[in-house]
Amino acid sequence: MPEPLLETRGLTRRFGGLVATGDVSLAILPGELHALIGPNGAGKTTLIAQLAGELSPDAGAIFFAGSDITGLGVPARVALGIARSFQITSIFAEFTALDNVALAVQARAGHSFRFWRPARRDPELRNPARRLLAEIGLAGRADVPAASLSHGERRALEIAMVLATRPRLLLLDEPMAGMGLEEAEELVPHLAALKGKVTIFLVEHDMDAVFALADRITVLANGRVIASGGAEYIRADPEVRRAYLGEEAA
Amino acid sequence: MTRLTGPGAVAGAILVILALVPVPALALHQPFYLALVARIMIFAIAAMSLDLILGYGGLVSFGHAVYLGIGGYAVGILSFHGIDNGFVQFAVAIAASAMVALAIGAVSLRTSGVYFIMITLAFSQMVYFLAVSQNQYGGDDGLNIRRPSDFGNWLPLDRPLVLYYVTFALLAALLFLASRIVASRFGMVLQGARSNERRMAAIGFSVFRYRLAGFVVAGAMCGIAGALFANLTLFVSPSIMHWSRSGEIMVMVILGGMGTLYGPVLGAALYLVFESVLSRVTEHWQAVLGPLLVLIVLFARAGLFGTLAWLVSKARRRHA
Repeated sequence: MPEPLLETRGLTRRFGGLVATGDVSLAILPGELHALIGPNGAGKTTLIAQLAGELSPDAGAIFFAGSDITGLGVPARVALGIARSFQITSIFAEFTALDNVALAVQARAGHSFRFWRPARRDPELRNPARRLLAEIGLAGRADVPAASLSHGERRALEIAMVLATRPRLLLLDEPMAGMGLEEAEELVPHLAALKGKVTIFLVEHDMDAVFALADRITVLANGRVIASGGAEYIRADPEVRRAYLGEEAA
Repeated sequence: MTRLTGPGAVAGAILVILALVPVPALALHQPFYLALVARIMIFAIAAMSLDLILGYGGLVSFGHAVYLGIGGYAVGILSFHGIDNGFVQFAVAIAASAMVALAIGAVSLRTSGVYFIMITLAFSQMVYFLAVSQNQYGGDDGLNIRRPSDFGNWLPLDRPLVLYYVTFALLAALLFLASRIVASRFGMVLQGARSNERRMAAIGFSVFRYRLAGFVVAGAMCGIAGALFANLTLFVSPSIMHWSRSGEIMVMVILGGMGTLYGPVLGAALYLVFESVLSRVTEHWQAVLGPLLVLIVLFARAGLFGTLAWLVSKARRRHA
């Protein structure tokens, strides 16, 4: 087994009496698409917030490429190459689609204490941003204000912004949440195209998408890992069926 | 040459009008108007500098008049001790304002929302009372300044027309500088942080230091306005940084249009013309200003500047 890109050991986070994350140990291998599933309230979002650095754990540790990052904040983790998307679309609504991605490119281009040259005419920012928009299928929407994009387009825009930070690990928090069936189906090939280029940790409710995309799946219930393995293994696991898939089968 | 857009045309018109004001004012022997418009331009610098952090940064700083005071007292105190050199006075005004902004910003930018408004207000009141307590510099009564900043014989600021054009040149230069800043990478970070702070962190920006830098730049620019104001009135007192003055500057920004830079120039003009004209008719002149402010906030979010720019664009389309 190769050394994991990201590993958690005994990660625990409580909110009062509620154990949102209980002793979670998991390993995300380089290059894989690792999916996290679990019923509502299983602690998926709390877990991803700890991986991104927005929440600090009460106990346990997080390792990225072999080094302990438990104490690092969000910008420091982004600098290491951990980037996330949000369950609720989070973009710069007043900016155009291109501005949104260009700002994400700028975040990776060293410090921004540059006060004189117009950023909107800087090919160092605009060209990579245009390329990323084209990759995600938004080439024709570059100059549209982000607020006027459709829901599906905004989710795609968000992924382009995350990619602009040149992440080694992509944390995708329910990228298909709130999407229509058609929009969700359009996004799947874009995610499939990312597979292999970057390690992805995908939290998703859409089971069809998860089983179509994931190399390995971890199942969370009541804050604890109840199973982890390949799609076939997860489908067959009786505890998973009881805790989660059973809901759909019934 | 490309044709100016609506906002560009209005911005150009503002500068041309300000450049030409002295002609009729002197021809009609009305030096009062020269002083009034100089005052407008000084407050325009203050309001424009607030617009950098309020309009573009989304930071509702309720203590911006402090930097008017710091700039004014820099001139007043140095002059009191016999240092009249204008370059020294203005350099000290800028540096002192920047340092005070750095200190206030370093603390208050760790908060947000109402707490930020309150903490900037509290800091400005602290500086205000510090000035009141300085009896050797006049305390509450203020400090008379013997002579204006000395820039040598070729720039005698005691001549109203020279002071007018020095103020105009500084306003134009600072407007140009600010318009470069807001369009730069730094400006994009400021605006991104206003729009969505969480997203900024998620793509890797620590917005605090950029906001702090913006806060310092705005403070330093306002310090220049303070130094000019001391030269205009040859007097400086704590009332220049009373919290109500901070409110006036904020009203100028909102009247003129947040996030437009040139809008606050219009806002300063409207506010001070109202004050000087209507206050001769009634002491309750703010009862006229208040409803106007409400109307602008409700119906013209881009303020006076945005409305004018929109009208110009519309008229052009009709002629095209």
